[in-house]
Amino acid sequence: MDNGESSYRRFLDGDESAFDDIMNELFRGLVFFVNRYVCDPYTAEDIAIDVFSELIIHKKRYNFKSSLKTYLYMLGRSRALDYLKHNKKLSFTELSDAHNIADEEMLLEEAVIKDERKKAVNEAILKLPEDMQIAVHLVYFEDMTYDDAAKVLKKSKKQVDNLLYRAKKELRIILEEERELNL
Amino acid sequence: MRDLNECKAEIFRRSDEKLEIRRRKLKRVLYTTLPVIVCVIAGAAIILPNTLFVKSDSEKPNGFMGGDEPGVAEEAFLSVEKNGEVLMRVTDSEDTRNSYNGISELFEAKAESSGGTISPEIGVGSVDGDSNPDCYTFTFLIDGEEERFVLSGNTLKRVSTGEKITVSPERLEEIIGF
Repeated sequence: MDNGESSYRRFLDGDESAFDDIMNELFRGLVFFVNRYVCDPYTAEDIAIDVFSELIIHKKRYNFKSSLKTYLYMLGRSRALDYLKHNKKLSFTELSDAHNIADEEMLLEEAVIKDERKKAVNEAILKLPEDMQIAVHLVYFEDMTYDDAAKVLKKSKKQVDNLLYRAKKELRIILEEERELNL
Repeated sequence: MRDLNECKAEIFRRSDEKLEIRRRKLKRVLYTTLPVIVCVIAGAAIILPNTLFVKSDSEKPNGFMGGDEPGVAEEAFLSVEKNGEVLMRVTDSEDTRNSYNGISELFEAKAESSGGTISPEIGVGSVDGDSNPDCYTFTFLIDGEEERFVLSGNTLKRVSTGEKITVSPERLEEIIGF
């Protein structure tokens, strides 16, 4: 698996079906990742669609130096932060809409995370600070290297390492507390 | 949430839309900047040669024009000096050119009568203004090029080549009108 580079090369060479492969491989994961920032699956999907349309509009912008996945996640993060910056005002959601959003989030989680253990971790990491959540998400759920995660987060490798170290420590406490509660 | 096919369709719809907007923006920029660029180029083509011409002409004659009319471009200019003092100046281009042509013809006629050659003489001192009380210097500036002739007695010397011919002051007066 090359995280979409070869498919994107085929797409640049005119093979339209290659775009489907990229979509299948990366779209839902990107929505799930962006949702960590915006906490709204509809908005996350909208942002992911925008990010993918960038791939078509600016075909030469991706230079193949990092993986396509890293590039898309970088774009996704930047779009998500832009969105949050421009929508700073508190938005009130109807209770019924909130239920819908929660259901959608569950569906999204179902679509992206197959492993039960990962689902438990996913619930636990929601209690972590945002930057830790994102770092754990990239390394644990997206199987990114520390280098790629650092690129997406615009941090150094050492900073990502520190974030993950603290995140693991906190996750251990959270998961142990939950286990005790279940018992 | 939409399924992947719907998302894909939306991606292509948005990218088409954005490309169209970009194309329109590019066209608008082109249509607004193109006339400006054309105007600038046309303006430069009109103004620049004049500016350059004024500059080159007003710089070169700086020594002997005496700064009478600074910045005024002269296509041809003649200054006549007698023993180092300015006797007269001709600023009329046509008169200056006629005078220059007249003198040049004298040199050519002399060259033809002496079998095509005029032997240049090295002794500049013989026609030097300092040693002769009646020494006239004719300085022509035509199209930016300077040519100097020195008349000492009956001998007229072209300073640049050192050619000499014999000519009476009356004949020169006839040609130049000094």
